[in-house]
Formats: sequence, structure tokens, C-alpha cells
Amino acid sequence: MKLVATLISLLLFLSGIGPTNASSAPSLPLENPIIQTMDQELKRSLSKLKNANKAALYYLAYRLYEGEWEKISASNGAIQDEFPRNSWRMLSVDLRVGTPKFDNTHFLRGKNSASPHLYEKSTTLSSILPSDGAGIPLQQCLWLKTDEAYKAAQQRYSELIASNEVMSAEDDKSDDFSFQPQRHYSSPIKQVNFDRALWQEKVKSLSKIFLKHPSLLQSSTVSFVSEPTTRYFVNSEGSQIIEQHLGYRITIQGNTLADDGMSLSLTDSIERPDPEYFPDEKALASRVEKLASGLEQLRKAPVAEPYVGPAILSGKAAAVFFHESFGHRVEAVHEKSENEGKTFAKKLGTLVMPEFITVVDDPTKEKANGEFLNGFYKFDDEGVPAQPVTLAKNGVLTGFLLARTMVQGFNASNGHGRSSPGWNPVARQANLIVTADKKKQVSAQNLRAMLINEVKKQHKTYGLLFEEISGGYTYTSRGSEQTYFINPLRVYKVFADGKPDQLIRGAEIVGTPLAALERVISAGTDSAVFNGTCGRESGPVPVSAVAPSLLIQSIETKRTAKSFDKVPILPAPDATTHSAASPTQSAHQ
Amino acid sequence: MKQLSSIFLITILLLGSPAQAESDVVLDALVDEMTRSMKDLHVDQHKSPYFISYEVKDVDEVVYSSCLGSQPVVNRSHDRIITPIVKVGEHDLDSTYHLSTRWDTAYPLPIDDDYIALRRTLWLDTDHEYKNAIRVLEWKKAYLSSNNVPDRLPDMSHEDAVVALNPLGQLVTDKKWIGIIQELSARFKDYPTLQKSKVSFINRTINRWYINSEGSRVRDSNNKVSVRIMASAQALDGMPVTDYDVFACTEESQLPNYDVLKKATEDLAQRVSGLQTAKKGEEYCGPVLFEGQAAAQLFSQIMAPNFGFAEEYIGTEDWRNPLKNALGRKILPKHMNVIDNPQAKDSQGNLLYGSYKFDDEGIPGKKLTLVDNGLLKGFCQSRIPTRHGPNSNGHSMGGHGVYSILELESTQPASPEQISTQLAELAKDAGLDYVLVVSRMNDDYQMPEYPSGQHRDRRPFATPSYSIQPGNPQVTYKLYLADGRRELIRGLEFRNVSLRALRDIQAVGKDSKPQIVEPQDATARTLITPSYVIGELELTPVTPDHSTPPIVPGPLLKDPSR
Repeated sequence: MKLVATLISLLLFLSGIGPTNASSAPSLPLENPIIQTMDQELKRSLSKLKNANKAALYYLAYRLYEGEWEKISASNGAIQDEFPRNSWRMLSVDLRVGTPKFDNTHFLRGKNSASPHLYEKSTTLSSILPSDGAGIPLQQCLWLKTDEAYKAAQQRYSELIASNEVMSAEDDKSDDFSFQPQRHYSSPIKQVNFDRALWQEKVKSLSKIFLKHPSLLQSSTVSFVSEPTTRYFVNSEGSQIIEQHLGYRITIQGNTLADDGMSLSLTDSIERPDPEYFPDEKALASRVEKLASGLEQLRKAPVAEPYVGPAILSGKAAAVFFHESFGHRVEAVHEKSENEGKTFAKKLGTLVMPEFITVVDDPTKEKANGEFLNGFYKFDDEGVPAQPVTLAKNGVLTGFLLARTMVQGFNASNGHGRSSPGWNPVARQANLIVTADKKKQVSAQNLRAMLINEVKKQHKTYGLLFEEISGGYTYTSRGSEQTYFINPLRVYKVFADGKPDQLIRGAEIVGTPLAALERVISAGTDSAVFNGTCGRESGPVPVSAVAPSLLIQSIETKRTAKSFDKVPILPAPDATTHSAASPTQSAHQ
Repeated sequence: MKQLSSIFLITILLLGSPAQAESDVVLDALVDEMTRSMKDLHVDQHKSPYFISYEVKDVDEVVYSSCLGSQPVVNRSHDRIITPIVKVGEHDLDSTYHLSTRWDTAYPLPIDDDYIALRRTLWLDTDHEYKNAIRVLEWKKAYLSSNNVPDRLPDMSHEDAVVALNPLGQLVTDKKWIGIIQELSARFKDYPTLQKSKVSFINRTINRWYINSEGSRVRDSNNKVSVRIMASAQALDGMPVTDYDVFACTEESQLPNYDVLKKATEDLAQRVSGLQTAKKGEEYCGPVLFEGQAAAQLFSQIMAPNFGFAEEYIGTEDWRNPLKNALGRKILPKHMNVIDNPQAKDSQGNLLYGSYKFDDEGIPGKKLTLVDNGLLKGFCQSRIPTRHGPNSNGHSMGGHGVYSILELESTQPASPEQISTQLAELAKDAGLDYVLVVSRMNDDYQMPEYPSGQHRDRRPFATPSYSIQPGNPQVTYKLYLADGRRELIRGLEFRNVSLRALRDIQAVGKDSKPQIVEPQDATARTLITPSYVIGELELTPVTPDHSTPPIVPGPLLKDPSR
């Protein structure tokens, strides 16, 4: 099975507030009714199930995610649909039988499958998970889900034992699980409140700006989303954790169709932990206007030809480049499983990128360059405190991102076990921060000059400047090609002969990670933040990547997929031709 | 070719406020974009559309749900979709490809009555449909030139235009239902051996606009209100046992009062509790009495889908109606009639759940006699002509002829005593000392709206077939002939049941009652059915493939820490 990671800038959660240090959290059990119900059922189930079958139950955890999400979306000045205040919950049971050395969550090679996600979501009509409250209704659901998880775990464990007995030995003999000390932590729970009517009007008014650009032929939307999520966590180690993440997002999106049928899209999103922090309406209007104008320019831009040669990746593009080419390959899950490409499994202590680059993943960092970071949290989804991890120091690989499942050479999680509600946590990136040695940093002007020199050196007529990107994706599994892709939004040709830069459309970056990382020549003095959501085997999680602009000796681009649509036959309807079509007298049955 | 049809005005009443009619922005936008497209939309050698229709469906909904007395969750949604139909060609041969009609061509539309935004969406959707129509028509012409399709029927009927602009509805929900749902769900706490239970209240207002280039202008509104109760458990051997009860009507005020709902909740809890300890059923071949909900379920699953889709298709058929060529033939016993009435009412004069005034093509729903004295007399038709009628009778659902609210009746209804006697005779012939009585069959009553903003790609109908395996019987009794005793049993399923089984109805009761059905996940609706006896059916024990009961006792048991 091919594993694809995607990073897009559309969805996110933003972590909010709370004590700055998890270690200063109270050490007493939490007096929260939801936690108490979860803890009561956990202890009851654990005592009854511990030795109820041949494989011993050695770890049990409940994760309950709770949210009350709202979305206001408008197009052309009109509200699209309404889902005011929809409450939901998602319950996951992490249950392990066997031993920490080898348990039911091990990768099942015989069926080429990871441990299945076992969850209950309250929003289906058949679910009995209550969206609110504690006590018996919640306990009843926990009880049934635990029973289901326990039986599934026993069955899978037997399959794993049999599978191992008839298959060759695995390379990686690290443990399937690592224990952690007991933790008690509760972030302050903030009531979510915003002026719905005000935001409806704002969003409508902003979406109307697109109407000033009649040549935009397809859809455009402006949306405001509120996604507060609280996670309740208890486990058999005695940990009890409540953590709330407040996230608000404004997304501006426009799509158009070039005359040759190429579908073009631009997106701008702004995320804040409080609506108060959003730019004022004038600033937002200017961003909408900029996006719409940009889309018009893009429609008229010439089509990019496949290219290989030097290029500058802006800070945001470089951030995504590192997230895809490097970040996903230091997530332990991709270095342990027999199914994975294991690009860096045996490269610890060796040079994997230029010596002037250092990469850290730091979920404890709330802001960078004054911007809030998406990947900020106090505890990961396995109840482990977030920790900064140096992944590459001066170009040398120094570590992996670890969840509770180990990889050869390590024996403890570093707080990167992450998942979307309902999915099984695995090691994931949070805030990937790329820095360059000051001695190697150059100004934007010098970086450009270096690009032109490199273009000339390689006997090219132009190099490329990737200014904005929407995201990217990569393949990491052994059965697939080890490639990554980055989807640029705005790309310019920078000519060697000094001609003005030219905007082009339809280029997509494609490459292989080991080769690409070696070809970073220089870095800018700037640093940019890319906030987005990363989709991977444990579901979409909010992430950030921070990097300076980079000059790459050789980047390859390919043509983007093209639709076959023709532009609409009729011009857009004239907004001023509203006729009173409704009869003044109506038939009524 | 008949051009623009005459305007068919139904009862004419002035709306209370002319201003309301004048300010119908949705209608204005629909008419203006349709008019422009009919006049100007064409490309190269291809002609402009000969027909355009827009159906707009605005669904405003609130759902309250509670489990075991939990604080009810309140979920709201409001969305609007449009189904644009753009046809090129002519009535005789046009661009419609009937096999895929209209379940993948619904688009979102703004819920704001904003003229400009509506027009822009309509412009792009119409353009998309027009381009698609050109491709399909050319494919059809090519297909017909190289394939033998004898006696092909026209693609669309000529119909009179309909103008009926009714007031729009507004979703109004009494907050008392939050408390009622919570109290009802708390009743299940008294049944600690049950595993899952839930009570939901769903209130939905659907506003619709339909216009076409023939002059039809229809605006209408209807409500769908329901209370859904669910309970499930496992028997001692682990076999899952589940049952539902649903109350559905067209006005909130028509729902039963709390006491009735409470009794229904407790009855359901007791039924499922009873099933946990009931004996397992055995292989059976003999007469079966279908009563209550099961009588409606069986009929809706086996027979009802075949009352529509009497249409002819070119290309590979997805489905074939086994009754398509059976008009005038016996399909039920001679004493039975079946009426289809889209505006059927209950004994209090209330419109039943699933009723409508105008179908998806803006045609008034007509009352039909489908079966008369056991003989098939007609089909539910949309504007797709059939060999039995060139015109629609107002039964278009998703573009196809589909049944609405069916009423089964017998000219020779039997008393309970007569039915008992009949059963005894049939059992004796079969060498049995008991007969089976099925009073509830599986239906999980999801009560969705198809299509809607949340389910734009779903079919609203079940398709025809000669035989199927019906949903499992959920509440089944052994009725002992010697003493009339009923014994609850579990774990049986039907073998395949064909249309022939319904010709084998041996007796029909006098206990007709409206029942809610949602077979094959189609849109829920009402059937009015009496109980009836089928002479011979085969049932067999279900395969015992299920998990064992929970290892840890449920938390509702008196000492959950045991």
C-alpha cells in the first residue's frame, strides 16, 4: 500500500492557552466529571480484563475529543450553508495486549496492515456516544468500546504471533511500547464565544470583492471557521490530562479556468487562537483583493515547461520542502515498519544535508516570527509531554520523532505521538524549524544574484523562483517510489539576461529526498512560517514548518494535471438585469 | 411537435401579501438565468437547449438526540441544492441518459436569497449541464445508428405547464422536545441488560422551487417530523438483537404525546430484553402471518419498487422491472387492490409522512389504482414515457417513476378468528403444530433526505427486482395452534422471496394502519397495510457469526464493579 502524506494550508487547529510548562501542572487527580467517568470505567475494565484471556492486557487508555464547531462560508456575497454550533465527540480506545516488547499493535506483515483504528463518533444516528456530559451514558459507551477493542486485540495478537512464526525475522527489533510516568494536567477551558452575526456580515462582504473581477470564471469562497477541541485523556499509568485547543481560521479561496482549460486555484488562510487577533476588515479586504488579482494574472500567465535547474524556494516553500523531503522520513513510524522505505534508518550520525543546516521539531514553541504556530501543544495524543527534538545538527542526522512505539536505538517517546480524533497516534511532525548557519546566510538580493550565477553556470536561460505554495505530499513506503511533490501557487522565471521576472503557471516540484537535500546551496536571512494540516496514517493533524529562503542547485518540475473544461459559453450574468420574474399574482394550491 | 403547453392553473388564490410573491429572489434568479440560457446558450453547430428545468430544494433541519438520559445534543443544518436539467435535441430524442438520471447532478446553492450569487451559480451549473447534454446526445445518436433498438419510445413526455406558488415554510420547533427526548432515553436505564439505546427527534422543513422552460412555476413546502427510538443488545450466546420504533408525520403537533411515546419506548425496551432470552428459531417452511410494521416492510421490499421504473432504456440496463410487461396480469389475489396516493391522509385528515403535492418534475401527484382485483393496472410514471402511458402521473422521484404512499386493501377482509382458522388449515397441510408470525422486520430508519446538501449523490429510491432476500425478521413469534400461545423467537432470516409469494396471500386482515418504511435506504415514507398471511415461505436460522457477549458486566447493572 502506498502511503501518501499531504500538507495543505486549509485546515488547522491552533493550540491556545494554559500554563507554559507541563511539569508545573498539578499532580493530584483531576476533579472533572468526564475524567472521573473515564477513569472509573478504565479501572473497572482493567481489573476484569487484565488476565481474562491468554494475552495479558497491559495498557489501556481512553481519548475523548470534544468539539463545538461552526463554519460560516460565503460566495459572491451570499451565505452558502449553515451548520451553527454542531457538537461532536470522538472516542478512541488504546488497548494493548501481549508485552511492551511485542503487542497487538505491531505491524501485521502477513496482511500488510497497521493496527486498525477503533473509534466511536457521536454524530451518526446509530452512535450511543453522548455529545455532552459524563456519568452512565458515557460509561456505557466506554464499556462497549473497550470490550470491542479487547476482543479485536486478542484476535490480532494471535494473528501476529502466527505471522511471526512463519515469516522471516524483522530488521528492527525495537519495542512496540514504552511506559511513561503518571501525569496530571488540565489546561484552562475557555468558553468559545464570537459574534456570529458580525462574522456572517464580514464574510459576506469579503466574498463580494470577487465580483469586482468578472473574468474569474469559477467558484470563490471566504469562510470563517471556529474549531475548539478539547481532549480528555486517561490511561492505566494513572495519567489524567485535559487539553483544549482553540482554533479560528479565515480562508479565502478562488478558482478559475485558463482559456486552455487549466484549472487554477489560489488560497490564503489566516489562523488565530482568538478571533480578536484577526486582521481588521480593511486588511482582510486587501488580502481578498490581492488573491483575486493574483488569480487574474495567473490566468494570463504562460504555461510552464518541464524544468530542471537552479531555483529559489521562498521561506514558505522551503518549509514545505523540508516537511515533505525530510520531516516525514524522520517520523519513527517510517523507519520501523518493514513496509516502509526507511530512508534514514541507518544514517544516524551521518551527514544527510549541507553542514550549515540544523533542523528541530519543537511542539512547545507557540510562536515564530510573531506568528502563531499550528503544531503547538502541551501533551501529545498518548499523554506524553511535548518536547523539542533536534533532528539534524549541522547537517548530521541526530534523532527521530518518536511516539510510544519505538524504533531501533531509542527507548522513550519524545512527545510526538499524534493523531486526528479517532485515529491511532503515530510519530508525527509538529513545528519543524529549519535554521541556517549565520555565516551561510545571505540577503535576498545576494540570493537572487547567486541564482543567476548558478543559471549561467548551468547554461540555462532562466531559473525559477517559487514564491507561494499550497502544500505538498510524499511517498515513503517501500513499494512506492521515494518521491515528494510540492504544489506551487506562484512561480516566476528569473532570467539570466536581466529580463523582468515572468509569472508562469502549471509547474509542480517533483524530486527524491536524499538527492534534493544535498543540493541546498545557500539560505536567506529571512524566515517564514507555513501553517497547515498534514494528512498521514494517523489522520490530519495541525502542523507548522519554519524555514529561510533556500537556493537549490537543481530542482525538477513537471506539468500539473490539467482539466479538459472549456470556459463557460455565456458571459457571467449581468448583475444589473434583475427582472421581476415573480408574478405579482400567484396561483396557490 | 407540441410547443409550449398551455398553462395549467390549479386552484387560484391570492397570497396574503403580494409583496411576498414580488420578493421571491430565488424564483427571479431561476427564471432569468433559464430564459437567458434558452435564448443564448449554444456552441458551434449544436443547438440551444430545447428544455431547461431547475429544481431547488432547501432543507432546514434540527436533530435532538439523547442516550440514557444524557443532555440531548442539538444539531442544526441548513442547506440548499439545485438539480438543473438541460436537454438538447427534442422530446423524441434528447440528451437524457435515463440510467444515470439525476442523482449525480445536484449542486450546492447559496442559502441566502441573493440574486447575484444565485445567478452566478446557476450560470456555471447550466453551462456544465449543457456541455454534458451535447456529449450524451451525440453518443445516443451514434449508439442508435449502430444498434438495433426496435420501437424506441420518446425520451420525454409533453405536459401542461403548472403554476402553483405556495407560501414557503419555516422551521419551527418546540424546545419541549429536548426535554422529552432526554426523559424518553432515560427510560432505558431501567433495562440494564440492553447495550445500546438512543432516542432522536428530527424536524425538517423542505422548501422547493421548480421551474421549467415550458412555463411551469412551482413553489411548495412540506415538513417531515419524526421520533426515532433504538435499542440493541446481545443474547446470552452473543447473537445481536436490535429493534427500532419510529413515529413520523408532517406536523410537529401530530406527534404522539409523551405518555404514548413513553409506552412505546418501554415496549421497545421490553421487546429487545425479551429477545435476549428468546429461543432460537428453527428451519421453517410454511404459512407466515405478517402483521403491523412487518406487513408494510415485506410489501415495500418485494413488490413496491416494481410499481415504478416501467421505463425503456438504451444501453446496458442497471435494472429490469419484472412487471414491466405484466399489465393486466394477476400479481396479487383477486380480492386485493393497491392504491398509490401522494396526498394520502390519516384518519384525522393529516397528510402522511412522505406525501407531496408536486413531484420532482413539478407535476401534481395523482392518485392511482395500481392493482385492481389482483390485476396490475398501472405504473407510477415520471416524464419518461412508457409503453403503458405517454404522460407523467406525478410520481417522479429523482427523475424516475417511483411509488409514493401505497395503500393495500382487500374486498374480503378477514376477522382475526378467520385468520386463525386459515392459519390452522395451512399449518395442518404443512404438517406443522405452529405457524410463524412476523410483526417487525429490520429497518434502521436513518430518516435521511435524498438528495440534500449532505447527501447529494444518493438515490432516493429502491430499484426493481424479481426476488430479494428481505430484511431479517426482528420480532417473530411461534403461534401454537393447540392453545393459541405466542412464543417470541430470534435468529431467523428469510430465504429469497420473489413476487410470486405475494400471489400466495391467503388472507388479509381488517387492521389497516399507516406504517413507516425505509427499505434499501431509500427515502422514508408511509405505507398503509393490513396484516396478511402468505401461504408458504421459507425461513432459516441466521449464521451464528457474531462476537461473544461483553466480558465485563455493563455499568448499569446494580453492582457494576462485580
